[in-house]
Amino acid sequence: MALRLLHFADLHLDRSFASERLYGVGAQRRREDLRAALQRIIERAKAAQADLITCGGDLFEHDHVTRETASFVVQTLGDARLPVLIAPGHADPALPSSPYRYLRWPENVTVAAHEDLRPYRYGDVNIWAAGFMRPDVAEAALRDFPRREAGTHLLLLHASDMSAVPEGVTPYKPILPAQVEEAGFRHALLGHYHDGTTAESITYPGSPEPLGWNESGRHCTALLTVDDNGDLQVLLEDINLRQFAQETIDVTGMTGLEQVRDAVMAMREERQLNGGVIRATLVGERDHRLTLDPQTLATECSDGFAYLEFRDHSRMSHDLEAAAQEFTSRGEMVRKLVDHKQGSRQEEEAVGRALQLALDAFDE
Amino acid sequence: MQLTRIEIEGFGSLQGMDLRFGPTMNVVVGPNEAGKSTLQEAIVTGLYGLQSGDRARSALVERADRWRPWQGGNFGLALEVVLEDGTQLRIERDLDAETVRVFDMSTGAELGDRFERDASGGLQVGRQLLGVSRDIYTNTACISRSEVLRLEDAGTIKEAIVALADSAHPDRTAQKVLDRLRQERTHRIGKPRGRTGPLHDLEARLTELERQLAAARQARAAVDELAQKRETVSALTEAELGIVQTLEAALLASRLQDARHRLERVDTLDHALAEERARQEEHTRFAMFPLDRQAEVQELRSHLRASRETQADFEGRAADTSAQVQQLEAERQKLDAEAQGHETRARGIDEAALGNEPAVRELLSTLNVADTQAPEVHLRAQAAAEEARRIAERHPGLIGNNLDWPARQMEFQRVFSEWHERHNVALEARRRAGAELPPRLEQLKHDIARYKEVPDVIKNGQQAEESMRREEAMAERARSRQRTFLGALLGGLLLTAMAILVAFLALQGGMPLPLSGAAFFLLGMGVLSTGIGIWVRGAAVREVDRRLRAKDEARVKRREILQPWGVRSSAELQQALVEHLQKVRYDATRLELDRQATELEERAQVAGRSLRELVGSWGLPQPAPTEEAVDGVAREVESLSQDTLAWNAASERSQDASRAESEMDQRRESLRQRLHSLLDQLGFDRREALGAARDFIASCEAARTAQQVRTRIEQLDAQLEQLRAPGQRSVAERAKADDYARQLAAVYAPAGIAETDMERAAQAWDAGVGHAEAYRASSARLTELEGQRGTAPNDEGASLRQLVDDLARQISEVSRGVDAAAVAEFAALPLAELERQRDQHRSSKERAQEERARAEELLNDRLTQTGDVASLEEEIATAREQLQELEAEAHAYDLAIETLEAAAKSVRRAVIPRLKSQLQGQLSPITNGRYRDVRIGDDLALQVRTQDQRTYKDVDNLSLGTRSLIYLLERLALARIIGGNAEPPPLLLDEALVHADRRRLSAAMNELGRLDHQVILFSKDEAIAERAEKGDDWTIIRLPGPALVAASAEEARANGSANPDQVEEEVTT
Repeated sequence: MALRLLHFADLHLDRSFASERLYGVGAQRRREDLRAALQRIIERAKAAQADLITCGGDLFEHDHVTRETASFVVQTLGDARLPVLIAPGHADPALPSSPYRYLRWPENVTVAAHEDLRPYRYGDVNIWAAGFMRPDVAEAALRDFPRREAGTHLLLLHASDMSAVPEGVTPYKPILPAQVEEAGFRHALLGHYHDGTTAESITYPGSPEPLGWNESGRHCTALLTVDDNGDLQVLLEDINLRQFAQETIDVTGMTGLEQVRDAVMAMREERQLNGGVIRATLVGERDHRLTLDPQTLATECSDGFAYLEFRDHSRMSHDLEAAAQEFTSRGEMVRKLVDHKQGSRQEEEAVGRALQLALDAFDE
Repeated sequence: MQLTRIEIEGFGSLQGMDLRFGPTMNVVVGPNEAGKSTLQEAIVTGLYGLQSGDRARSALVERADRWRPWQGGNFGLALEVVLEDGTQLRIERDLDAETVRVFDMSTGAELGDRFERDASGGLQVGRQLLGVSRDIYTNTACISRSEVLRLEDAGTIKEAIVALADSAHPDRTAQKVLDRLRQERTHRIGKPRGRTGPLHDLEARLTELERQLAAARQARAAVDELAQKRETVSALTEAELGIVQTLEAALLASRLQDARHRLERVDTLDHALAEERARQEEHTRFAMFPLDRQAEVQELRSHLRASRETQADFEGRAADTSAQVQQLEAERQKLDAEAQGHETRARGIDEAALGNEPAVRELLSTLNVADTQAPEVHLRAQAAAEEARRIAERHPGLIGNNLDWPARQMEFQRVFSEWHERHNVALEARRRAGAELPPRLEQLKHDIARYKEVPDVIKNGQQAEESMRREEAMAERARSRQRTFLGALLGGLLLTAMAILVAFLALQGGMPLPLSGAAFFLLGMGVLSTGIGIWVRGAAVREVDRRLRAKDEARVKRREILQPWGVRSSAELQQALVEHLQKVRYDATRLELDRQATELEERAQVAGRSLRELVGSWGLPQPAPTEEAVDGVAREVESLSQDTLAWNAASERSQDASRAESEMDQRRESLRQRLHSLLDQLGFDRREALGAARDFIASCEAARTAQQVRTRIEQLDAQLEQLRAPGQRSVAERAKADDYARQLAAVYAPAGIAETDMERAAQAWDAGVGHAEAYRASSARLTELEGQRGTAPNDEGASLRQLVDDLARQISEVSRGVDAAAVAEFAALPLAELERQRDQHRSSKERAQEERARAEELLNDRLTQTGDVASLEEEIATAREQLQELEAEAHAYDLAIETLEAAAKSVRRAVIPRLKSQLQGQLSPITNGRYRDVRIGDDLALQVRTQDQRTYKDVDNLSLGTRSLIYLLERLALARIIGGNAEPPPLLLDEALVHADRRRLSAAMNELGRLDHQVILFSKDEAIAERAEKGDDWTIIRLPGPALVAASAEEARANGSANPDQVEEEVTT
């Protein structure tokens, strides 16, 4: 066999989950999940008897990475005792202040701290890699790259396949499958997209753990095998322990916390959310006897979840149409507020909330 | 809306019950626990079901549990109602299955689809019939005993009324809600513009977190700077190290080069000495060669070579040109003959005649062009005339010079647009007016005639009603007199008794005469008083009866007056009149529309006539007044207009072409005249002008060619002169060369060279000179080399070779990774300079290494202080989100408070005048005329005033009976106001008159009777039933006691469901 390598990317160690509205212990646990994922990757590489581990960038987040995490990465990759080739990405560019530059990396770890594509030879295979030396690189990675004819050539890069840009993702280093083939590469091992996919000439393993509520795709490592005949095979294997999910629980008709808890447990079983990171939004019409405190609920119902948080969007039941027909102060208030319901979405929400507060106060 | 019947299958304690209600006033009488409250709830449930609109399902379950039949059995009921428009509905509810069905009782049709459904899918029957929710109905139209009892506390009326106006609930005032909202806001967010509270604390925390994040980012920036510095210093160190290595290599290379140079020099000297000695040996025999005559020989050889070369050159050139000379001479003869031929063809053309050639050529050319164009112009004129004829044939007699169809089309468009617009407007007006007008008109005339009587009927009805009220008031006054004189009668009797006692005592005890007289006087007075009392009370009783009869007569009269119109009161008839007037207004509007439509149709016809006349005046057929026919004419006119334009254009083209043809002929003639005149001047025959002009041009061309040939012959003569010169020069050069050869032979002879051939002799001389010079050079070189060799030891070469080897090895060690080009560049420098630079860079490198070590130490130190930026960002995001939520919540609270305040003010402004107008008329009867005027404050506080008082008195200060009645009426007035314009709801009053004494009870019941609502009064007080029995409008329903109900239910269970009639008989009136 010519070469067997395990490829991963987009681990984003020390990521901030502020943009996902995930805070405190919940966020800290997710960062610990990411570290654990790196250890699992090393173990999987050893188990698969890989000759090499490649990383398609965004191993950590430069803006947030601590020295301790950097030391952890160095230690973990060093202990792997396998050659490791890293192509820095836009989140971990090889800036002067990057651990890639200021730390002494073990002999088995190679960081492609250069913007031009350079070959690294492993057995009979040439792996061409380049890294981000600054966070924003818009240039096309394979522009003016001369075609490689002889031998087996692979591409390792943090880049964006412009033929399949996921929604909401900012593309860096644009690349196309046709360019990969024209340049003579047998396959491109890429990073940047967090959903794992593999195609004829391009593989994104995805982030080893999901990093946000919208990352519902696959989260894998890619085992690439090149045999003596030069035939190539890519196998995506899921590696994530967590899944992020936003669920909705209708509390209409519930009168006690026990019922809410039962609904949460039923949701966990039905949706197979064991060990998941869950944001549950409570909706529907709340019974007058039901008091919903998200913190208490989270404590009560957290069994079986890695993280569970509640958001209360339920409301006391009010018949606005009927109230608006009353010739009373309450009815007049409802009419005025309903008429006021125009303009921005925030204003509409404020009016809706004002209605809820006032009608609740009338009912209590 | 009126309830007519309720059938209860099972509801709480009531089972198998069937009750019918009167259209206006009903009283349900029964002892405690007879089920009056249950019946009231059953009525509400019949209308609305168990579900309350804005309550959770749990409330429904609670209510169902409460009202499920105590004795088991089906949980359900049916309610029959009649609406204001006479529709009779039956509402059947299966409360277990939570289903409801509504039927039209006259047709039996199910009307479920006419009612809207609530969120849980149930039909909103009560809501749609009465226009208010269940809560509002029960809070306004239903008054319970407990609520009335609460009025015993002063001040509660005001609060209860305010609460009703604010929330249609007896104890929820807007002020309480506002207080609660403000309290919640302060607790959860803080006071508006306050400096304490959760919002303020959160802002402070966010500021602190942002400060920490800024510090952390600053620390990271410092790390970036340090890392950059470290990189720079590292790069500097590496660069200095490279330079030092390069300089070391260059230094060694320089030394190596020096050693090699020395070694090479020693080897070269030894080798050169040996070679030079060998070379000198070869030239020894030319040591005496006459080298001093070398210059003379060189000069003579040079002269000889030059003369020979010149001679050969001229001879060659003479040979080269001889053929050319012959060729030129032949060519000259040929040209001479050609010139003579051209001169003959020129026929004596001179320079002056040649000057006229361009004019003749131009005239000839122009004339040719004109002749070519003439037929084309002629054809064009013919084609245009043909096209005009074809167009004219398409519309025989309609297209010609004086027929301006484009102008006619514009005129047609104007008239057509006017007709079209009027036509469409008329059609639209007719459509709006509708087609069913005539029958409706007849109905309208009939209605107008019938409703002319209505004002008189209303007047009569009002008089009857006024009479009823007057008689009632008089009867009441008589009752009052009756009561007053009953007191007088009793007083008289007491007085008589006392007088009898005194008289008896006087007779027994012998009282003095005056005292006895007084006693008898008292006795007389008592008898008189009693008699008067009996007489007056009797009169009052008779008057009451008389007044009540008169009232009944007035009622009968009112019924007779109003019954034909299908109404119960003059107010209803007045309402019907208003509706009738609205219908009249509607029909009048439709009549006006019809008139407008007719007028517009006439205008459209006038426009149509104008259009047809216009079209007829142009010789076209007149179209029918339809859009299709007129559109056809419009298309015809448009076609004529377009063809007229095409005919005009073709005619104009034809005229233009004819004009051009004529002009062309004139021009051709003029050109011919000018050509004749010119040829005549030049002496050519003018009769055939074109041929003569062509001959003239040919002669001119021949004359010009003859001139050109003569010029060429002159050029050939000059060229022949030059070609004959080289032959003459070659003879002179040969003589000079022979003289130089003789002088050279005289010089060669002393050197032993006897060759006659000058070339070979020259070679022999040159070889001798070479050898002689080599001998002399070898001698000088040997002397010089021996001088350079000097006194050096013989083994110097070996030691130098050893040095070179050592240096080469050192260089190979030092030069690994060093740029060879840079080394070569440095190696060119002097050794001392190299050593100086190496020492300088070596110290720079050591300094840079120290600096890098310091930067790394500092960087490591700072890296440990960078902090957890991710956590800080997350905390800040949390705080911002919480802040945003709190701000939104604060805004919502402020909005709710502000809107509720405004709403409360607005509603009170609207409610107060309506409440006052309703209460004003009712106050006097229920207070027995004591209070007639009512005032309502901004806080809905009620104040009343007697006719003779100037100040108002708070209702709270009135007696409980009066207060409760005022409250009752105010509640009912509010119920009507809150209910809006929907069907007047049935009023369910549970012991609502508990505080009323007999007089107030009567007044209150009278006032209830005057309301437009159906009233169902629940009471255990038989007096109410007795009072109701006296009124015509009252329906009395008696409920059996609980034991009877229970027994009946048990009996019913025992007999199965076949015997519920016994219970019904007990409860049905």
